[in-house]
Amino acid sequence: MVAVTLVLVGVLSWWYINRPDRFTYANNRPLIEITVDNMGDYFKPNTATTTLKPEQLVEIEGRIKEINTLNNRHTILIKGTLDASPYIICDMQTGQEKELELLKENDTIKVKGIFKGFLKDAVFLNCIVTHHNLNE
Amino acid sequence: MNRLIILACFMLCGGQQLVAQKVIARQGRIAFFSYTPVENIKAENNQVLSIIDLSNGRIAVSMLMNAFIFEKALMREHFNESYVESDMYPKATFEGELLDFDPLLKEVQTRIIKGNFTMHGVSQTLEIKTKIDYIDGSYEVSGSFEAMVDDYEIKIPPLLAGNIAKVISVDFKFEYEPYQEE
Repeated sequence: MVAVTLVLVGVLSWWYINRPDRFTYANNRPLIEITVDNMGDYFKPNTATTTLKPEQLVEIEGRIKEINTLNNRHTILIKGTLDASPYIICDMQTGQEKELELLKENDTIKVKGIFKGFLKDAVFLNCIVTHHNLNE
Repeated sequence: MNRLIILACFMLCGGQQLVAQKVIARQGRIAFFSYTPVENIKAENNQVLSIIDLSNGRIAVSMLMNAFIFEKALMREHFNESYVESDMYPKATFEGELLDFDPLLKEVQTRIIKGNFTMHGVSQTLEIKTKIDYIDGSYEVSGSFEAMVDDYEIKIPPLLAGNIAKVISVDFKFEYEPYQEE
């Protein structure tokens, strides 16, 4: 019994130390939902820090400004009603490649991601596409 | 003669406009590596912001410390919660100058960037050898340097001291595009 317990503790410890840094929240309800219409309100200077906190799960609806593979990463830049900074930079989780193949500039999509902070644009990591072709 | 003067003015003004513009990189990359016999740690940040004022060679860089990606969740947690304390010091910044940089030169230049790098609330003066490439009308700036963990008052718990190198290798690469200030 003691041996079994020790083995279990060892396995759990090994898992805890070596667990990969991945997020699975496709079915998690986001804390905040941002749309094309209110995006500007969240990302005006000096407002993002009071309304969004780092590490919050956020769902964003917006139009695609650009999809790029800079730094060997898949990244979507999302814009609001105006094609002007600040944009939303969404670094996509691995495994989103098939979803991205269906997307193009100016498509309206919904993505979920973890808010990291604000530089010139709002930065989100671990993004997943939750809905696409919303404008069809 | 008048036409020559007008043409000379246009050429001068055109040249001045090219030198006066700024360029921006929204998705610059900074990666760091820690090599120890116990464990190798690497992380990268792919949303680093940088702006260069081509008229005077001034360069500014800003990055979110919690946007570094690690292979293991525990590494990321230790990095943010214990080492760089990203809740208290969310950003690292660099402000400096590209020395002797000629924005009109359309070939690879190797120059020194000199400036102040601030992380974890501590500023250090750095001089970094940098390669500046002119590709398809925009600039690519890349280079590497080494940083001492102790210089930034980063406290490593004694139990984990063997897992973190005292000297961290840092690589960076920025791909710039023209920047229209709004």
